[in-house]
Amino acid sequence: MPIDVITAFIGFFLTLIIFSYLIGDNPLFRIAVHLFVGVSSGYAATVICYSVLLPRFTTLSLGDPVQLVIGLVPFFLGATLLTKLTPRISWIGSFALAILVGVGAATAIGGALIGTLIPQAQAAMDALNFRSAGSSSEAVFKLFDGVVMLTGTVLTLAYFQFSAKRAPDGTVKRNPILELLAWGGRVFIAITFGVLFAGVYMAALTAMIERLSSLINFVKSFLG
Amino acid sequence: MADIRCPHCGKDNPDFLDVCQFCQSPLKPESMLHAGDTPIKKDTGELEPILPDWLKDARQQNREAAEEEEATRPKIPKVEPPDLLAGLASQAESDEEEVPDWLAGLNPVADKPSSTSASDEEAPSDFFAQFMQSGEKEPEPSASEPEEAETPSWMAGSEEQPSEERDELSDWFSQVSAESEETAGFESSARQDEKSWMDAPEPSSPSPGEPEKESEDLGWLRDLEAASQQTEEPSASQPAADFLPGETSDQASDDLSWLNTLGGVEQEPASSQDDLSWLNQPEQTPSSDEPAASQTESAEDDLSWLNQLGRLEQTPASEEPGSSQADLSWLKNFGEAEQEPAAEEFASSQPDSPQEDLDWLKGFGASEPAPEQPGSAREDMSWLDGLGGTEQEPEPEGSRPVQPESSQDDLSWLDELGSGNEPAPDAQSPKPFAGEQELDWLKNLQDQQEHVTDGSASQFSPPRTAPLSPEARDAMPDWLKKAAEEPSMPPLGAASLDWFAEHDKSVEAEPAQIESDASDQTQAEPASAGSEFSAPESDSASLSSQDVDSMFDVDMPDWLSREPATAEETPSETMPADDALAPVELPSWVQAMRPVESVLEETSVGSADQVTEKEGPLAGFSGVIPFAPIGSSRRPKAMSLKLQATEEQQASASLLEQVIADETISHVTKVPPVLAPQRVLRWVLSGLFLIVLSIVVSFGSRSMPIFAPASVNELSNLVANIPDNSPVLVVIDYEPSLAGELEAASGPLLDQLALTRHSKFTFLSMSANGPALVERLMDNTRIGKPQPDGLGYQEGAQYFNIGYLPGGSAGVLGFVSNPKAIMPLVNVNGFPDYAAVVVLTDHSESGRVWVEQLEQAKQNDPALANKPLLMVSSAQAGPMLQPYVSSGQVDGLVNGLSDAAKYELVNTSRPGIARSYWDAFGIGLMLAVLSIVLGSFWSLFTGIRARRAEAE
Repeated sequence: MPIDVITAFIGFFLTLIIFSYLIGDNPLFRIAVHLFVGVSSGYAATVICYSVLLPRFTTLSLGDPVQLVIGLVPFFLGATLLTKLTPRISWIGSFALAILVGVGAATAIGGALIGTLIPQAQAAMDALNFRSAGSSSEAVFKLFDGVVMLTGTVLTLAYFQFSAKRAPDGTVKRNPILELLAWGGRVFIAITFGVLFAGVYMAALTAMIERLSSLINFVKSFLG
Repeated sequence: MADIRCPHCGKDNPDFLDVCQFCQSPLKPESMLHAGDTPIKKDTGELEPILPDWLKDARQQNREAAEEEEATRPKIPKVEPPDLLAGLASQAESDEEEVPDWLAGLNPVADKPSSTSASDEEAPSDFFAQFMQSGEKEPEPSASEPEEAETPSWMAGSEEQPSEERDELSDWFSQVSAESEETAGFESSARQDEKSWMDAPEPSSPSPGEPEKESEDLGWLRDLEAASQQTEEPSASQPAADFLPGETSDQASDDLSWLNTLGGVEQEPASSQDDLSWLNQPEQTPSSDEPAASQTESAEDDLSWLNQLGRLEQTPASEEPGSSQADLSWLKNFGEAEQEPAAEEFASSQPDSPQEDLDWLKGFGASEPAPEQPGSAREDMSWLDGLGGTEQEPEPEGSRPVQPESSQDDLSWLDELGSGNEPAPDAQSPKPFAGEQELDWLKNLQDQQEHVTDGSASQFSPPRTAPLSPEARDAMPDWLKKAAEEPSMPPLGAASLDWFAEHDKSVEAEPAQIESDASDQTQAEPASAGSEFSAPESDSASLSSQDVDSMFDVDMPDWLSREPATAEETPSETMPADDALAPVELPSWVQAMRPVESVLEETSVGSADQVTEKEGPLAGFSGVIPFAPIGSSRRPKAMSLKLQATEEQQASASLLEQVIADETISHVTKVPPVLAPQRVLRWVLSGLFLIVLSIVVSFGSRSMPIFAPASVNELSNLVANIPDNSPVLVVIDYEPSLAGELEAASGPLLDQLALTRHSKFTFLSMSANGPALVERLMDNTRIGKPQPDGLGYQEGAQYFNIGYLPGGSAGVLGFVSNPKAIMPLVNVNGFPDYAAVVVLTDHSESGRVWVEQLEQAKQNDPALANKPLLMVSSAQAGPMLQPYVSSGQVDGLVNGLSDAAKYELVNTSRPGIARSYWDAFGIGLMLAVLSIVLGSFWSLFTGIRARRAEAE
């Protein structure tokens, strides 16, 4: 029996086991979950060794001590991270961990500032730039798009404004105007969450269709 | 309601409070008079209505008696001595009210005739003498009557009892006195040595040189004596007695020798002059030997009226010259049974005792005659020698030198108590020595009296009080009757200690002798009284009473410590004839006791809240005894029974009550809905979706239309502009769970690149499972499948699966900066070698990292600026990546299966995966929408039904 058939069977039964969750939690579902986690971890370890570590070793220049030392530094720092498994010597891996956190934070902050905040601010301002619009209808659409975007942004920010004053009867109420703006912001937030939920549903629906298609195709392959 | 401001703290208090409720200080004037306070002049006439009936009657009787006496008695001007005790005499004028009216009113015979003698005139003012006068039927001479008037009648009445009726104590004293006579000489000498601490200041004689010694000790009594000397003429017998050499020296050395003669039988002729010889009277039987002149003098200076206490008959005045001069000689006669001849005692013992000792105590109960006591009458209180003495016989002068030393130290006078029947020679022997033991002040007292009293021995005879009349006895209280009874104790005297031994003998001998003495005394008094009494003697009597008062001031109440009012003073001031109840100044102790103060309303405020004690052991201390006025109407602060709660507190209380009440009510718990329908619904929906989608997929329906927007054409045009055979970096950044979606979404794009541009793909996985997903992607998109079903891409030739890129954003930045350094297996030298970057992501965050890092790399490397960034995202990550598409940072985005189906449409429906899923995808979306709509209606229906059910 070819490997594809075996993997097809395994895939078919595992898919059914996963679908068994519709009738409730069952051992088969747990077996499929544990099997997926185990296979994924093993595969990830293998990938790391073969695609990360071994290439590094193979590229070490043994003739150049400087390059060799520089090439061994990542291995050394990576090895110190293993000391985190033992509390006694976990401090050894703190330096490598600090480097990872520091470098990652700096990179994320730089990338967010340059790649998200500034470009998105410029894009929000360009939303109301009608000169870029080719036609009047496109300008109207762009104006509407810009107004909606601006309104949604303002109202959403107003919704998260929780400053209020205490009334004489002890109750806390926000400013009526701010309360109205917050209500509009709540509408925009609801639409956003609805869109996200729809995207999740569509992603899941697509995955389910792919699985059903796989099952049907497997069955069709056996049925001829 | 009016308020009273507290003088202490200044706060207002209700008028019904007596004490400040804040500082507890008295709000009202200190109307309560405490012991020791100066009596306040009060109008007691307002108290008349509230007096008891018996008191009213007593006052009325007293008032009537006073009226009669005032009409008959001539007033004798009173010469007050300049000393501090002179106030007592003056008080006798103004403070007569201090004698309790109720006691003064007890005299049932106050209206007895007293026009013949001064004593009868004084009787109404002296409540004790009133009783005595009733018993005295003998008309006393005018000169001697003051003594009788001052003598408490209740004490005189005690002598009315015959000697046979003496109680056990009197017998004891008589026996003791009898024994002491025998051993008086030794005891006196011994006591003189023992009590030598009192000897030093005594002078040798009562001469004018005496005041020097008097100044050392009780000099105030000297003034008292001086005052008395001014009013009395010195008796002739006193100088003779004073200058007796032996006696004066002994008296100067011994001061308490008078105690030796206390109760002596016949020892102290001098003590009878100036002591309280009246004390001899209680046991004294009437003696005819006493001269009447002595009674007159004693009545002037001392409280010799007490001599009459219990005396059945007055002794002749001639026998008691010394006692009349000496003020306290009346005490000597207290209990005295018989009076000794005054001439004998005056010559023998009197010169010593009056100077230094308290020989007047010798006469207490002694029966010595007054003439023997002129010297003692000056200064001592030898009258106590006669205390308890029954009879005193004249002392021969020859016996005196033998006894002085013995009588100085001992208390032989106790032997004389009750030994009145003994012969005079035995009793006289201790007297001279008793005089040596006198105190200086007593000696001075006698010195003063010596100048006043006459030298006649008859002037020093102790006064006698008349026996109580039957009416007086009937009106006498029980306690007075008991006091007036003949004491059962033996008389005080030197032989008193032998009384027990000789009790039987003395009892047998006494009755006959006492009777005879009594008969003699009654016969002698009328004659002597008329000759002895004179006007100045009343002053001397007052002085002597002051001395006595000064002695008993500490322990005795005010009314007792003060001089009994004389007949001249009382009628005019104490008993106004026209007023029903004249305003008088009540004694302090009476004011302190009467509850009238709590009744009377006074608004003035008291002076101080802390009273300084003036008497007793706490004298001088202030605020020691808490201030608590008698009859105080202190009441507790009025407290309201109503609960003091505000409206808010009451509202809170009612709310709490409601909460507690609600807890007691049982509530029906609602059963939660069964979960079975939800599970069935889930199964139904799941089955519906599975069946519908399976049917759609199985049938391979492609009936659902696809509308490709313009944006899809732009992306297709962008891909078309990528150079041929250029390396394209494909980033695998999704998980295996969404591999089916991403493969369907990325398939049309990769197919276009591979098919039209023959791009060489470099697959870089952002997860460890990426490399496996790359193979699966290549198979499912048919790119990696051999031709003619696929494009025939081979790994290492047309595509490179370089593996997993660790490090997140840092790894991306490093790979963008130097791909070769980060991924050694990469097939390019630098990142700019990639013609395009295609990111397959199911998470917006991982796709944003590539956008940000490429944006940063584009700013650093202008060669990257024109490199297109294409993104194929899952439907769940598309909305979050859309802003980057709008901002131009992402050149093209394929979002999920819908965009893939559109792109596939544009790409001539290749590879057809998206299209195969499209119908099922569309049906699935419609099922979802239908489920949401149906669920919304079902929820609406159930809600309406629930509301109707609740409404019904």
